Amino acid sequence: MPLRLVAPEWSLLVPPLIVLGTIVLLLAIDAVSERAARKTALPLALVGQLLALVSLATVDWGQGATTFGVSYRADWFALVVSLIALVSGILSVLVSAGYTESGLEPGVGLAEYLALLLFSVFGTMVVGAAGDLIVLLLGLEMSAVAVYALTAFARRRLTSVEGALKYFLLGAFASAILIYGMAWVYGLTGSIVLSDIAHTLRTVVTPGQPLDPALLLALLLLAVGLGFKIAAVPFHMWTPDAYQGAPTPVSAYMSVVPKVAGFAAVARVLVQALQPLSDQWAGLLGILALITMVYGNVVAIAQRDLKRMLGYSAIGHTGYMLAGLAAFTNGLAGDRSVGSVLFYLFAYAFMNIGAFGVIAWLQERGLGTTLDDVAGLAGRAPLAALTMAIFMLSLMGMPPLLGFYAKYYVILALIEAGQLWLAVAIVVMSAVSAFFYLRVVTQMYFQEPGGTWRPVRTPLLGLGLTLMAVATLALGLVSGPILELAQHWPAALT
Amino acid sequence: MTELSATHFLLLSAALFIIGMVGVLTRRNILVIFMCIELMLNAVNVSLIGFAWELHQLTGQVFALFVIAIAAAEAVVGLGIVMALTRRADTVDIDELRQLRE
Amino acid sequence: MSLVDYAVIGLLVLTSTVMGTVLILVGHFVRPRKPTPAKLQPYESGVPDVNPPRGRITPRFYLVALLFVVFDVEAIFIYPWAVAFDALALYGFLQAALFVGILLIGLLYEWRKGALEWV
Repeated sequence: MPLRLVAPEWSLLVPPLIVLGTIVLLLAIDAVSERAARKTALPLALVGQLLALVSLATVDWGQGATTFGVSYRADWFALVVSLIALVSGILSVLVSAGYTESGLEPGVGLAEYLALLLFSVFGTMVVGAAGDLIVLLLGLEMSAVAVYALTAFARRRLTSVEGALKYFLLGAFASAILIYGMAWVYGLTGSIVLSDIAHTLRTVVTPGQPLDPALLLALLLLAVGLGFKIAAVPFHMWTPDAYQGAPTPVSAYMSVVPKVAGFAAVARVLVQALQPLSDQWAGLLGILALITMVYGNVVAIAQRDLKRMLGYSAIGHTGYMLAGLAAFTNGLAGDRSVGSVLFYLFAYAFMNIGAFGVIAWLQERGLGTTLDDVAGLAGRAPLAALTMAIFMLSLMGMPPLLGFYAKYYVILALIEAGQLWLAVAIVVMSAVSAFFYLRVVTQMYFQEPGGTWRPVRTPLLGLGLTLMAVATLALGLVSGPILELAQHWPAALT
Repeated sequence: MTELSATHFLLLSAALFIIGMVGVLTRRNILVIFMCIELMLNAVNVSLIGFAWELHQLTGQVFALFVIAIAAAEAVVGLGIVMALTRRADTVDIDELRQLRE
Repeated sequence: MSLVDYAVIGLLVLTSTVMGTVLILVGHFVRPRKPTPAKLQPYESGVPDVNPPRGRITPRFYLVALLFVVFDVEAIFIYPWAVAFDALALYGFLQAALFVGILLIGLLYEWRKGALEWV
């Protein structure tokens, strides 16, 4: 059998390759000289990601070109996912800078930490650009496995290891289910290429007819596996524990980027490959979205620990994003479903990493992570309190902050798809969420401060928080171009 | 009856997968849970090989290779976490891990 | 070979299962139950045991095992290349070299980090 290896189109691969190169460089420097790594790791990680961000402009995404056969797709969807992953990656590095709790002070394992973080960013970019199931799976796992290790990074603290363990066990369990689903899809369609799967399914499935049970099984396995990855109820059990146990910068990171990878995988698998089954999965996603947003927002009310509260609130936000996907109407004109989810993820990156960033900022100053620790913050550090208030109000969906626009576009997509009940549910749940988000604000502004306060300087963290606060304030008003970009998705996925 | 067909692969795979899944859901020892997850992944590999065999393709086999690599990566990170855990807590019983709660 | 030929094996499995189960059950119901501390001890050649029967193993072993698993499994990607070595020619060789090169950086990393030291 003659074999011919075709050289890949390297120019399409520049952004992920820059990230990969940065990782290799980080590890190589750390291996050669730990002292050099201590000095260079942080700037290197920042510069590497910034370069990758800039290099996104060198690729012509509109072509939808593919390389490695059709395994790697450089299309609009890949661009937006890479953009969100890199921006979140940069913000997370800023939040992690100089984090002193549990051995993240500059130097101790910093290169290793940043390499793992960049691996996860890299994996997420790969998921976004995946053209077949193997590449998708590899990206998803790279993005998740690195975060399991990061969660346990404060390994002297038992809660960190416990959170990591729960995250890992459920994540690995979910992966097994997901891969089983992929195996069935492959077996039933004879292909692992996403577009070929859709093509084959179109010939097999007739709308209105009951589905082949094997195909239904494959769909359910995929839905369960991906549901775990994005922390949809009832597959959310790991989320609060992992968020609370992880070092705070890691919580910030993992509340966003693995979720981006998860939603990118959902979009690639369900929207692109299993599009002929959209009648089945859109309804399923709608129901999942409803129970996820209700559960996340209601349980968050009972939380005293801010990280745990944000963990449940993250489940609630997963619900809103799932609702956006449930508005899928086969990529016809006016279908804003996937675009609204991409915009939501983009907005969510700023406000959620920001909220965790403020908690990290407080921990630097010797405070804990409960509601009592933010009491009276406005008197002590008015700017930090203002920043936190901005993030809380934005997560709640207060206009004209970024979070409001995110919800607004999802609701718009739902209304255009005729799913009014989900749109109403989002509005109601946003009102419920006001209860726990505003409680943080009242604690900061109307309570007496307690605990000991240790003033320290954290310039990079401060810079990161400022960037995110400004973005949360202003990006909503100029959200047009970003949304425009996100709405190019039908060209990539259908 | 004696002819080997893809159905045999799939039945074996489904049986292994369900054994693994029940193990994950019922066992309390972290290492046993972990072994059950590995069992599930290998059950998937049997499926993939079976499908590839029936479709006369190599794709499924290549997929299985990557699944093995992913399983190894997960195993290493997971066992690393378990090692960190036994140093701190001296237990591998999942029910004894109750530090994180409401 | 028809299914009937396997019947012997089936018979063997059946017999051993039934016999084992019955013997354990009979023993369980018939034997007198008078436990003393001495009786409950694991048998250790008649000598009273000092350490817990399951001795502790140093975590070093686990570390080495983990590192072994990683590099061991990477070999599965080299086998297919080795099988198609002639057909893939120089370009295939370069790709495999790149793959091994990245692995080497990993090996260098763990060597420099002291993971290979046996203390």
